[in-house]
Amino acid sequence: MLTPAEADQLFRILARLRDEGKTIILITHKLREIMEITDTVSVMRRGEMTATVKTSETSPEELAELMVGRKVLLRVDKVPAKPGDEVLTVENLRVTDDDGIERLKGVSFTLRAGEVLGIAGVAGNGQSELLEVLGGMRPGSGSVRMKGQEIDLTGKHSDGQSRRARGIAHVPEDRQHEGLIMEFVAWENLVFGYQHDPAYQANRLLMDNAGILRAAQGQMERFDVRPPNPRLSAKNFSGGNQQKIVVAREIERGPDLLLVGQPTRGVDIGAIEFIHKQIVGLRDAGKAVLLVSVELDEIMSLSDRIAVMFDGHLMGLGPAETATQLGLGCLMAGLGGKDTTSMAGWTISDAAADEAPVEERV
Amino acid sequence: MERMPTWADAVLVPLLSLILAAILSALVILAIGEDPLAAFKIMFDGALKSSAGWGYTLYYATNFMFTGLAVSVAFHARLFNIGGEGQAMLGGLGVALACLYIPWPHWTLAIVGASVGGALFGAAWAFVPAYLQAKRGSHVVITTIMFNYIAFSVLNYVLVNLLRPAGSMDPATEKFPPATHLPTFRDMFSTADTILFRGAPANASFFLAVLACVFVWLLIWRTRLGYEIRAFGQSETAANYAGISGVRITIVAMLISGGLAGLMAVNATQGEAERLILNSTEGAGFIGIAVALMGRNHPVGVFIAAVLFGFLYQGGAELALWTNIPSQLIIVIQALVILFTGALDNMVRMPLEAMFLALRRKEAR
Amino acid sequence: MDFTTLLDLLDSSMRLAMPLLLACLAGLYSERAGIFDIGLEGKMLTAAFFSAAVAYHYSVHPLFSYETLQCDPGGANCQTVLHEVRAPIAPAWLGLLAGIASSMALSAIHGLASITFRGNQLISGVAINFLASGMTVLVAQNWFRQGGRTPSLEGTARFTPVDLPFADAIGDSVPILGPIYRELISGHTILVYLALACVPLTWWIFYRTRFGLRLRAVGENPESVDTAGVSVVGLRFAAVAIAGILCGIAGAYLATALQAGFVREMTSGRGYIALAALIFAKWRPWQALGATLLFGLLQAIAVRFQNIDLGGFVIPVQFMEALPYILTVVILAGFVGRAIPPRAGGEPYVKER
Repeated sequence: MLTPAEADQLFRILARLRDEGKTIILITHKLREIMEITDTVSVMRRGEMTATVKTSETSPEELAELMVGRKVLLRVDKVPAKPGDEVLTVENLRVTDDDGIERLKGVSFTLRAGEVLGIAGVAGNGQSELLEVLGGMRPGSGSVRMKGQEIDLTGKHSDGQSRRARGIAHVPEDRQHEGLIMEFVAWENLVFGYQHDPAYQANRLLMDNAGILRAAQGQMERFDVRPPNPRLSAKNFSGGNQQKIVVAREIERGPDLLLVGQPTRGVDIGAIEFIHKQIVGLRDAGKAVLLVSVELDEIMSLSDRIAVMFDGHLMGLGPAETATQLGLGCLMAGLGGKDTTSMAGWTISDAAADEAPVEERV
Repeated sequence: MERMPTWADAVLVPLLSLILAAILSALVILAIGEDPLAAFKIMFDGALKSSAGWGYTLYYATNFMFTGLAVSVAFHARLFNIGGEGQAMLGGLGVALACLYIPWPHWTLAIVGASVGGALFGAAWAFVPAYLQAKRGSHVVITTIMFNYIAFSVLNYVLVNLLRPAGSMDPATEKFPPATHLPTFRDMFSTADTILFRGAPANASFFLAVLACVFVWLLIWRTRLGYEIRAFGQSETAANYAGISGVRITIVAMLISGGLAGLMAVNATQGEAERLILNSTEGAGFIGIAVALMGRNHPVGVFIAAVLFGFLYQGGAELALWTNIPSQLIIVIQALVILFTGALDNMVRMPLEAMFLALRRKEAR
Repeated sequence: MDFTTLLDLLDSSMRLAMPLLLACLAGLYSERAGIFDIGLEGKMLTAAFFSAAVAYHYSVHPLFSYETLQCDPGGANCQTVLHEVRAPIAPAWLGLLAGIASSMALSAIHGLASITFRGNQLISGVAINFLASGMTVLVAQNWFRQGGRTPSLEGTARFTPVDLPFADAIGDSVPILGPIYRELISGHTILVYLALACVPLTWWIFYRTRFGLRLRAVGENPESVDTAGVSVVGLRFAAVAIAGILCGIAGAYLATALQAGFVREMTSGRGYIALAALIFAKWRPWQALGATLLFGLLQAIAVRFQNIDLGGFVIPVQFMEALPYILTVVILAGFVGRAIPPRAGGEPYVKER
């Protein structure tokens, strides 16, 4: 995963190779990259080349339409946020992983009801660990308060069950290994993590499988999971539809706080549009959303406030309206400087280096 | 889309594996210089032609149901419990203590007490490997195998030094009191005119085994615990995400598994031998692995596979009696079944999947 | 305990440790390449049987025989003469070859199941153990009709101790070191020295050759090996085959050097103990030597001290029998510390992902 600046560097190299007369095949689902450096685009859908066009004669909207097969809204329409009470307060949160490496080095921020806080950063700078410790998947130290009440970061009551009981829902970064059991059928997956919910029990001993199945049917239709067959194993759904199952499960019970990691990784453009709408809908319903994504575009279009993580620290935090690609990019690389301070309303951490270390690569 | 229909996965794959194992076994019999068809006839006649044969077949099947269920419960949590043999041995000790030292008024109560004793002892024997796996990451496969060897020594010591009646040279307890004796199939099903199941050891604990099948089905597919066991077995990372404690599931699944293996002793020790002998398990704990694999870890499958192995076991004993084929043939068959249904599953499955795919394509056209 | 008893004990530890060492190294190759091998036990057992059976056969029978017609000069008075051709090498060596071959056949099954068909490696290993357990007795009964064992091996059908140079001279003249040399170092069968030589050889292969580097890589990150254009399947089969060879030697050692013939279940859990030793050694060759020597010592103690009297309380013989297994569990549970197995261990490699 590259920072925007590093990506630009790579593209400059690619451009040079092209000028030397080399042929380059770039496989990506990022429309911005395609528009920037390609000459010709071929669109693949369901194992077939559906179109080949000159880049100069097309637009992102047209490409998206070709990819999905229908008109797609690329921008997220949302009304301004109406932040309410503080929902999540994180102070000096630290996480050390199994190898003894400190992944979170004292992170502090707050999150209010009715707002989306996006965490930007190059993959591997502690965002995953932030989501995991908040979701109860790994222990940590420091202080985390949910609606003013302390939650356990170690011990028996720091697991995913305790988090769910406190109104924290979690769309994990890796749906195939965390969010879903690929061998389980859809209806089983739709209660995954909530299997102790009294609504799903037939009596004291047995689960109400028939009831769950019925509920799953409706849920899949409401969340546009295709095919809407609750008896199909999770592994038989496409990436986008798998993600819709996870999102349906986590969003529909209206959690006070939703943790979302890479909501649209490996998801087709049509499903991205749908999932984004759901996240914004939850925010508009007055819930808090913590969004982690390595897609800067996604962070910028969904978030109300943005924080940037680098090497286990928050480099900066500020409103989304004033954030610039360039400024965020600098922070993602651990740099401060005038591009970051020029973003109005932003607090830049002292940890951000003032000057860019000159580093020539390749 | 599923690659092939569920019924094919549940029936065709095990059946094909069985046929492959049978063909190889026939070759082995040929190599020994015996006639496989004649051998099969002897097995069939000895195991299935008379009610007495069925009595033996179902007696063995009862053992294998318990051990097969034991292995399959652990399998659902992706734990490979090879310790069924040791857990069943210790279960025998629990059954023997319950039968010898508690004055039961009637067998119906004695079977309950013995079941509790057998299950507790079996579960206890599974606890240490389970705890070590959960907390210290000691591989459960190795520790359960070690516990099989240790179980034999423990039982040997207890029988020789503690429970052996004075003056007896046999490493075995004294006979259990008559009130603990379980009714055999002969007692239950013979009428005044016709005696059925003459001399056969099948007894009331067969029904206990059937109950255990129902219990395991409910446990695995209808309870929250079963849901969590399956989830943990499929994906540890996902279980962690959902807040399912791996430590708890590992220990609980192994305890249930050990308890089921221990229950086997109700059949072999209380029902058949009516005293505890050193080698009452006769490898049934290991056959449980083949039974679980062949039964696709489903209680219905385990039931059918157990009866099949009961037939093989009884038939194998008949073979050893009437031919030069040693009873170890059954171990070879068991190994082949494990190999084909467990390890070479894909070898059997791939051509089948290809066939179904071709069929579907033809239909679509 | 006096010095001689101690030397005796250590000497028998050494002999008991060798099958463990060979099996442990077998496991090392296999697991370092990402293939779990519970089937060490079965491979050793099979090799033990076939080596004993073949060694016995050729100690009694010739390699082959033929008849010729011999006549007096002039063509009268002809008679057939039977010529027996003995094997040019001792039957024990023929047995060793047979043991290795049979063990490798099982390795091939394991490779087929776990590499080619991407099956469950644990289950495959267990199947192989049962197959060995059943087949050895079945065939033994069919061939020899002695209740599932081979006849006792005598003379050249066994590997005999090799006296190292000057063993006797030094043993008597040099104090302490002399007897150690004579009792402990000298006087083992050639297979012991072979096993010991395998340790530095294995170290060299793993850490000084390209093949070894690739083996280690294929157990940690098969994708990278595949990307580099080296065959994952080929490397893994090679590792499994080497494991077969080593288990074959281990089994032959059991039946034709340590003991004189095959008896049923004669491996008695050594394959599993070797796996425990492998974990204890954290999948490294020199540590494997240390771990297996420790387990060998435990076995030697259990064999030697059948009834230990602790002033009125006699430790029962059953406890001593179970001791190696108990200590295996204890070591696995407590003293290993954090043992990190090869990362891709037990996972079949699927190219598409």
